[in-house]
Amino acid sequence: MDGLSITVPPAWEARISRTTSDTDDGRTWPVAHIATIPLPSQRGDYGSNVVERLGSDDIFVSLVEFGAEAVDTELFPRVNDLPDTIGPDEFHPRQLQRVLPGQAGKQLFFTYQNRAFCLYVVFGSFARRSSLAQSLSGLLNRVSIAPRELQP
Amino acid sequence: MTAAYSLIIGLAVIVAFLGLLVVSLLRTQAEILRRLDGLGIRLDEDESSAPLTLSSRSAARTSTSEISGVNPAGDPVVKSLQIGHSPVLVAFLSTTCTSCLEFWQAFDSDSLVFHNATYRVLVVTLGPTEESPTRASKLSIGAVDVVMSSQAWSDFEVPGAPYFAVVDPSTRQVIGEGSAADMHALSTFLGDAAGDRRWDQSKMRDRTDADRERIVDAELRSAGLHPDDPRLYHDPRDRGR
Repeated sequence: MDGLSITVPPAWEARISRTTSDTDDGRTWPVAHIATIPLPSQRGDYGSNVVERLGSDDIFVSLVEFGAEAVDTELFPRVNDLPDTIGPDEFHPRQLQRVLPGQAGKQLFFTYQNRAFCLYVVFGSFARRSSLAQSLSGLLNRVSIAPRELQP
Repeated sequence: MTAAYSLIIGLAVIVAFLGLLVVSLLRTQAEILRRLDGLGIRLDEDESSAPLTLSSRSAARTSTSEISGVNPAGDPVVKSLQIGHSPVLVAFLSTTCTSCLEFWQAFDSDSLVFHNATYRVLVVTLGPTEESPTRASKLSIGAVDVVMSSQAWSDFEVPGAPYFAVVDPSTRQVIGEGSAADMHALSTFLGDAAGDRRWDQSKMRDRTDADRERIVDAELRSAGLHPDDPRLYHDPRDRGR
């Protein structure tokens, strides 16, 4: 969808939909959700109605695109490749959009293929972040993002 | 007078013949209904029972690991059948069959409880080229999960809607499948499936070590592994060397 695709690994679920519009022009952007638990049909862009269901061995990933005005801004630095691993020590409860006991999160903002994204990952257990980071490793290599033409 | 008697007798014979004909037709119709009933086909609208079978547990088949398609809004979806703790009730529904309507109205959540057991509910229609996404969107209510996937219908060899399959996510085994005319029949079916699952589990616990050894030996033989096969004694650390 909109140049965003995922090769879903075994025992993961995925959905690609569009962001909930909160702009005046009503524009929406692709958002991909990937999780080790069944994804409910109704979810927030950053995992509300999902993260509450995570067990201690579970992972939720959200890849949210932002508009062209965010491309190459300070918050969204350009990267040449998607990160294939995120170290366990980069996860922290303070990075959670919604703090739930025991969980940990990580947010990354970047511009890739002339498109601005926020990658948000939630671990079901901060204590198990080492093994969960291993499970997450390689997942982002399965995400494919087609380039967007820059507006003149 | 003779002519009048002849006429009366003639009419009586005709009435008797017609009576026999009616009785014969009624008996034929009753026989047809009895045979249809034997095949599990009920013609009366109010009848709730329907042919719904539990899988032979010794020959239960393995389901696909996932169902992929789009939701009625057209968004890509991959639903795994090997995650979560609850059995997955995969409901193959159509937007046009009248008997499906009751299920569309009953499935208003992504999980439902039958006989004190929670089931994850996944409604699967044919793909958007064979089924109307607009009608599927209108019929799906609440938070029910709907995937449009003709491939899933093919994988599960669905003969027609409504059709149901219950998948155990821990083994991916289809522990029951069949059609049901209404929620009552589906509930009964799920109760039987849950009971059989408990029965299987209790029987597994009751097995002796000798029973388990026989089962393991049989499974190894069927996989081509016989006594003294060197593969039985390899060092797992040698993998990839």
